[in-house]
Amino acid sequence: MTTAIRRYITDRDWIDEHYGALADRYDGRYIAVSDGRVVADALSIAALKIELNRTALVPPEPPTIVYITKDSTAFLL
Amino acid sequence: MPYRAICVRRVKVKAISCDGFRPTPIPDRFFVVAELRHSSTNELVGVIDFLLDTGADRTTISVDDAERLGIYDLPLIGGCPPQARGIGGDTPLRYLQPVVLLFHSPEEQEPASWSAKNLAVLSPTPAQRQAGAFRGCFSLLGRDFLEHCHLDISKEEIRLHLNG
Repeated sequence: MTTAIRRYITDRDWIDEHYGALADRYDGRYIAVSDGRVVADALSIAALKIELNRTALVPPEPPTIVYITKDSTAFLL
Repeated sequence: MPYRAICVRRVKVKAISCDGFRPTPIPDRFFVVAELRHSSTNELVGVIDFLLDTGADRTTISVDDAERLGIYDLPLIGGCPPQARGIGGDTPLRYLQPVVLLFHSPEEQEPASWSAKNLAVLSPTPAQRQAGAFRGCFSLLGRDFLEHCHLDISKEEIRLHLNG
């Protein structure tokens, strides 16, 4: 497994495990996760990137960014 | 070329609740994580979690993933067909210059790879962006990829083997 994929799956598993608590706190927002913690959150990806740069919170490897919502949506693609 | 197994991630989805109705169950979703690299330089663009979509004609990068990875800042090609048609209407498409997708193969050390010459990128109009309809939508691994695969689908799992 490549390092980038391993990091993503580790972060993604952590997000899935804590999704309920994350949805209570970050509903309708994008979050950046690295090594089992939320390092930034914002209403858009552009704002999240600015926040990560502004606060110098960008980890050595790019964090995993996901949209958090309490809504459950059925996709018809 | 031999078929190589690719890891597929299964995600449970919460049922939809409607006032006065019982929650409607949603089947589990199946995702495949891939590393996106430039064909010419092998430079890493980023990691994308693709929803397996046997109904999608083309593998398509979502607005969220394109923004997250800075793909709109890369040189994109206009092309044909210029639109992606879905339930929500038509959305303009552009195409990435040739890239390689690398997938984790559980049976081997080396990742399985697929060269994508025209990977589609959703490029919504300013009005569509303003409406925010694409927030939280997934990138799709469509039939242009799946036609190189052997696919076994059951209620419990999807098994995917890539030729290459």
